[in-house]
Amino acid sequence: MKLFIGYRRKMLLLPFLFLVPALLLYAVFFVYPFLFTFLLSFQQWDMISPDRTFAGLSNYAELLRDEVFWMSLRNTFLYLLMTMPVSIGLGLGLALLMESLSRGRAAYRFLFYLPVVSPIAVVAILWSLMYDHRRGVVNMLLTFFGIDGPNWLSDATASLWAVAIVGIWRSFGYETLLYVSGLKSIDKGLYEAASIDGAGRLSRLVHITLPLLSPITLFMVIMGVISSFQNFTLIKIMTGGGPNNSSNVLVHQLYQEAFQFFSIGKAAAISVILFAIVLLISSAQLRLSRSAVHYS
Amino acid sequence: MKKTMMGLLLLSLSVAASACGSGSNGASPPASPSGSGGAASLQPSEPVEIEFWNIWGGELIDSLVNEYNSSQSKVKVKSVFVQNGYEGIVEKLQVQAAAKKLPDIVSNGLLYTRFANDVMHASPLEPFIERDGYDMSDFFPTMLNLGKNEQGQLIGLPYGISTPILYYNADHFQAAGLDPDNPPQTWEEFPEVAKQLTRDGHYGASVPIDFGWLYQALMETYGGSMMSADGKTVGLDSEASVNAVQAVVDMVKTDQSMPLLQLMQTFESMAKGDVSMLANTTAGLGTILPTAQFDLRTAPFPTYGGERVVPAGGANLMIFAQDPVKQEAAWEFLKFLIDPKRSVQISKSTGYMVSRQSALDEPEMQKFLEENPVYKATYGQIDEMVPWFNFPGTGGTRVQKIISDQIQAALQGQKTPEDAMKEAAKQANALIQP
Amino acid sequence: MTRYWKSMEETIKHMLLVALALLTMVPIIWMASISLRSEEYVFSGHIVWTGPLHWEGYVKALTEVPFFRWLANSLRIGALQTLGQMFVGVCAAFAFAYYRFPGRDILFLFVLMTMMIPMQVTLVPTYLIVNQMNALNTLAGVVVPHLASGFAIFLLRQSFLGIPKELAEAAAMDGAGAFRVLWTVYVRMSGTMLWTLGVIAFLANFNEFNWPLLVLTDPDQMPLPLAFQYFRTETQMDWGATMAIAALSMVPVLALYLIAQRHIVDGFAQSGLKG
Repeated sequence: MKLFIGYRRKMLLLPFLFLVPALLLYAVFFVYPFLFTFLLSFQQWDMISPDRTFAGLSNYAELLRDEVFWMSLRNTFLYLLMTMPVSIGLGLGLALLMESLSRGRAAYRFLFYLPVVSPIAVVAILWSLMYDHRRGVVNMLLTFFGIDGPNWLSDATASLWAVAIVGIWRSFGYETLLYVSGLKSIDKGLYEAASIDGAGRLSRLVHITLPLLSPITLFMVIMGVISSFQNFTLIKIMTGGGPNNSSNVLVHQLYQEAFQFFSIGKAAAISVILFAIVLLISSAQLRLSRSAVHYS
Repeated sequence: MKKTMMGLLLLSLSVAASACGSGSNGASPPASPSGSGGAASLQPSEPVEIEFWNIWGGELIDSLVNEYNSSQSKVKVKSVFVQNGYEGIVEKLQVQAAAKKLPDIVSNGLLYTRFANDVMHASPLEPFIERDGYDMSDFFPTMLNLGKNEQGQLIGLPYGISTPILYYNADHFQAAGLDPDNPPQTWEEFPEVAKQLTRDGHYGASVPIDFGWLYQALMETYGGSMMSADGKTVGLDSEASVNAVQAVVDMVKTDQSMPLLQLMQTFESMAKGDVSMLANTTAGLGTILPTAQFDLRTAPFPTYGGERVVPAGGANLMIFAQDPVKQEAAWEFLKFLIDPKRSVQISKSTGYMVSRQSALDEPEMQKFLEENPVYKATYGQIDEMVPWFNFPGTGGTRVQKIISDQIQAALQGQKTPEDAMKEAAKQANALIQP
Repeated sequence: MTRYWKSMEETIKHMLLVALALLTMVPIIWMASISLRSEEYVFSGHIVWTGPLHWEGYVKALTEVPFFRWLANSLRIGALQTLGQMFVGVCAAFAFAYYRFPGRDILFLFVLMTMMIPMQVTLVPTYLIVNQMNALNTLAGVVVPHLASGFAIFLLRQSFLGIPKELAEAAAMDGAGAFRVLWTVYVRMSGTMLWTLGVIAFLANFNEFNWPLLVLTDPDQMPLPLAFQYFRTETQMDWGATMAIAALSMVPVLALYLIAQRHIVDGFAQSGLKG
């Protein structure tokens, strides 16, 4: 209460004036749809018929019994684990490599960022062609190295990897770019001081560079979780979740429930669960990182 | 702060209420054209605008629509190309139906006939046909059956129908010492031929039965039936069904004469000579023929025990408009589309079949078939054509997915065909309560 | 001697990076290569096409579909949405960075939370609202629902936090109102960041296709990504034309990125994401 008294009227009014556009938009296009979705998760509806009936927790119960749901849940996490560490690791490695060069940095940055700006629909169609068992460029390259590549999109053990590789291809350039800009803003004096103290390359990397990059890493991890949980277009176009749900993920299953099986309630229940998971992970990350992340 | 948030919440809730309100009014029952005959007459001054959703897009449909629009001034048709085929149309229909923004005339996939009837309330067409005295006698009867609902009313006219046929690479037959004029006619001999054709780095055959339509073709040809005779349980776990799946799984696992491919890839694999035979829709000709660098031939779908059953693929033209004036306009346009001469054009470019005898008899069509005999195979099995089975209840499309998932599990070697089809039947039975 | 080792090391690094860059470029090279083949060689197994060049795909892409109209639509959607997101974002970020008010942190958390929801979750209700507003098949229906971008607000706030408050206070002392402070201090001083965000947001908005395809049914208003699907039907796929469209549609994106890329790195370096 004391806080309130401390503010002058104007100081309360002005910030809200600036927030009005955002808040209004969020209210109409985020809060309401989300509440509506939440409500729908307790109902049974096919989106068209007039009757929407209260269904209690039955949508959730049905999901827990649904083996496709567990498969999608598992794949959602697997996809995250397949893509994010590789993508961030590649980004860091490339950024360090590039920044230590005396020339050619801009060219590499441009090339590595190309996949990020490629339209995702194009990427999905293009890679589907590249993954062709016999004639695709992926297996041709693998054969060149003496590896007999799998039937990527039609093999239940390879399909999620196939999508994950595209996910990595599409995202590591962004990570590289962020790390490059992070490295640029590190005070070179710190390295010089450390060198004078006799610190080697590795020690400088571990004791100066990595800690100073940790806020960026945290940002990437959080954004990585969010974006990998939203991975819809690639799955939809490349595998449709198949074969036998081996590449199905929650966002794709929710789409199937809504638009192919006409179960809006079940789709809404998946939405709510998906949201809860992302929220849980992100807040856990933030909390854990409070201690681990170095703020200069 | 709290007040502001509450205000926003209330605002959003009021939007919610109004949106829900509109959503729950629902679709009104279809008006019958004869019942409102007076209102249905078209005003000559202002053209009625109707929307036509189709999966073809491109030049052909555009030119048809343009031709129609310039041929008269009463109706103006807007053609909307919908992506992702018939599945895409149903997805879009649902979203638009929630907002009550429905198209007036639609090429509706045969898997979704029940959906069109129960949910979209497609208009029965008999009243229009009777009133106009439109001559339907030359439509192939098996094709007309595809557009009937459970009460026997005609709610769609066949447009762009297909059946599964056998494609084969005559060059591969020759190389394997087989007679290219004598492709396998039965499923009994099919696996053996496929085995012999598997050589020189290509596979013998592709029979993508994880595509529910082709599964139906094979299991019914094997003597099975999608539903039990009493209509209470599914026939997915019948002996015929398991045998059909087993035959294909054996080709994949034991003979290794069949690769696992996505549906679109099967056409491409056939076209580029990676498989020697393909059982799939005749509509694939549009893809395979232009690319094939070999002697491509087609044959009827093989038989089993002397029997053949081929489900129809493709679409019906249906009228979803509820407004009598628009229904009338849609009917006029529909008549234009199913005119024999015009339906020949679409068949020529896609491999889909014409749906009436008079169109098949058109000199243009006959000449085309003479010059391109690969298009003939499908017409030889019109009499064995059955509807693409629509499961009862609201879970029909989910049952299709279950079938596809379980067959994929069998093809991937995760389950035996018997276990897979039992599981499919168990899950499907739980969904089809009337 | 050390100089020799240094240049040796640099050469090795370059070799490594060139190899990786080539590997990264394989899909894009392949796309270009396929777009120039005749249909029967799409699956011929050549990575780089050395046979006769076929421009039919490009001819089809430019003549059979209204390519330039769709391109213009995409550019318009991308530009309007980006400008709107920047405006909303700048205002909100300013409120979060400059003012202290009760509930600020919770509201900011809420903004972060909005980023976490996949579009599919709120697709249907959002569509219903747009319909209620009679905005189906309009540009506004495509753009307005996505104007509040958590990403933009977040990045701008981080960047604004890095601007010394004394500057703003000095301006306020001189009698500048809140809008003036925002404009003369915060916006002026975050030029690079605004460019960065603008380019990144534009590229994302330009490429977005799921939502526009739902809202727009009128072919004349469609965005460019529709074209990728246009030569692909249930059973047919015209790879040459599809890849030609893919290649063509990357040109404006690449041009923009090429022009702006220097600023993008500097922009991120300036943002709160630095070490």
